[in-house]
Amino acid sequence: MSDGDTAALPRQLEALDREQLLQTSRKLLAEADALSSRISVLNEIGLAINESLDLERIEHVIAKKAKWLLDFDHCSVCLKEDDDWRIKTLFGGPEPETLDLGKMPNLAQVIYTPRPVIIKAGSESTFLKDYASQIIIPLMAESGFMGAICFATTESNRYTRDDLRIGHMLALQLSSAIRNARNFAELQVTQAELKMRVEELDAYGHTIAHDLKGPLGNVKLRAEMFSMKFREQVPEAATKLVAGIGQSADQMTQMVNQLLTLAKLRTGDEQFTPVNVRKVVDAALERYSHLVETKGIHVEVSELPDACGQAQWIEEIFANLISNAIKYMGQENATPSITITGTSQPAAVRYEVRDTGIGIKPEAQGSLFEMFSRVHEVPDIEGIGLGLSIVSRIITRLRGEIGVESTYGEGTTFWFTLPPATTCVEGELSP
Amino acid sequence: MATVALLEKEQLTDPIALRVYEEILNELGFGIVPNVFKSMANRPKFLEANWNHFRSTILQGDIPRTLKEMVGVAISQANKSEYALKVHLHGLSALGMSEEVLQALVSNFDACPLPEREKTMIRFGLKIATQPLTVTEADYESLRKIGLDDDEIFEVVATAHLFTGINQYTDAIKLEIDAL
Repeated sequence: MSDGDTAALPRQLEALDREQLLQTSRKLLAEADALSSRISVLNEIGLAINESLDLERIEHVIAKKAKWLLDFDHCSVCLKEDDDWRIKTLFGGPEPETLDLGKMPNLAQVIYTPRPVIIKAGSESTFLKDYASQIIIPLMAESGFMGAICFATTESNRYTRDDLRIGHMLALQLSSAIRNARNFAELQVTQAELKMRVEELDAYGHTIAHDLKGPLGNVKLRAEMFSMKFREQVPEAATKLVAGIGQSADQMTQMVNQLLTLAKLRTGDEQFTPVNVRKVVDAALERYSHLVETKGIHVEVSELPDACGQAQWIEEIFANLISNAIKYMGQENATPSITITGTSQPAAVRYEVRDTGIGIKPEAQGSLFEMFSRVHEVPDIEGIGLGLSIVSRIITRLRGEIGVESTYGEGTTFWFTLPPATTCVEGELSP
Repeated sequence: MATVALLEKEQLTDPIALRVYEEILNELGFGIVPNVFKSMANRPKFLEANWNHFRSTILQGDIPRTLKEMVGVAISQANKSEYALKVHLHGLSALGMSEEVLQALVSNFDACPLPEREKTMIRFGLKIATQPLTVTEADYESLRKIGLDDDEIFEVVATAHLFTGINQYTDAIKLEIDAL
């Protein structure tokens, strides 16, 4: 070897090292790049499966898109449903058999550990006996093991740790999508059950209320007949007692009618039309004209804008609010008055029923629109506290809002909004 | 400089064009309306039809968008269509693809470190776009072999068809590249 050669050797070695280093770098870079393409596909799959709440749709996305992540000839998902196991082939064959963990030792291992496994050559499972390489990854729920996803190919030694990592990331996405889908399905079942129960209760309430009306009518009729026939033959105290029975029967009839109104509210049709509100206010006032006159209440009604809704229900709202104003006007009121006004706002019409009655204490205002909540525990005032809850339900159904402003001892203003008449299109409320 | 006006959102008065711009901003994932769509806004119905074509072909379906955009890169490169190439590359980097893979995709496709299944699909798309008359049953069979069903194969054909048209259009109107 010449001196020149000796001198050249380190340079050659250096060059060789550099070449090797370069090759290794390129190889590593290529591997990292290939991973980056798989990760971007993985993100897409994650987004697609988490967009859906339908398990079949999620499985469809996996069946279609997972092949761009991993090479496989077979993909199946095994899920625990209640206490049963279900296995479904999403891609390739064979069609699943009944899940028998005794014949699927690899799956059993994943289920009992629960940790992923890579099978490099030959399967102990009869289900996947034709597939030499497999990856089986557990799917986890909050409560623990939920199932597993399996990728398999006929080629031996096909899967690497990178494949397992990618598969694991997909399994995480899939687990969360399945959890969401299951929670959603459970919610739907609960919602359907609740709806059925409410309907049953409504029907029950309606039947009871309806059946009560007959006997109540009889009580009232017989009390009146008793007074008429035997007034002269019984002591005055007995006549008073029987008259009390008649009054109680009247109150009960009123309550029964309110309960029937509530039941009707839930089942009524949804057709909305423009309503002449001034007309319905006049009709509602007419119902109480006798009381208004007897109590000397001054009533004032300003110009009222039309609304979109159902005339019979809007009349019911005003009738209830007017009736309340009369009831709670107070015995010693020197200037009893009720003022009804209305204004047009950009997206709604707003009405107010203002009285100069006894007012409502602040602590009572919060629960005013709940069922069986009485404005005041005032003796001698009839009602069971359904009126305002009925009003509130009607307004919600007509897509409006209700509220109250009151100063105890000075008076109360109930306000509510409804959609303007212009939003009614061919009998329907426009969105 | 493009041969047609590129309309900014503020210049729009047509409700169809305004709605389409809004959909593009919400669904495309670029945060902008690309010039290709801005150039169509003078004809709102043409814009709407082309956006719906793009949306149903690229943003919907079973083949990941990443792969469809890669088909777009390969076709634009073959057609030397500068505008479309830049938009696809931007789309892919927005989807998380590394710069290195994208460079390899453009400069040396065969050496590009992509899985063979993806390369087979991209090659098929490229052939559909550039030499449609030479496509044989064997080409279709190569896709079935890697696990694509007829619906997915149709998606590749539709993708190649869409991107070929976009290349032709953007080159013809000399569309300038977006400030991405």
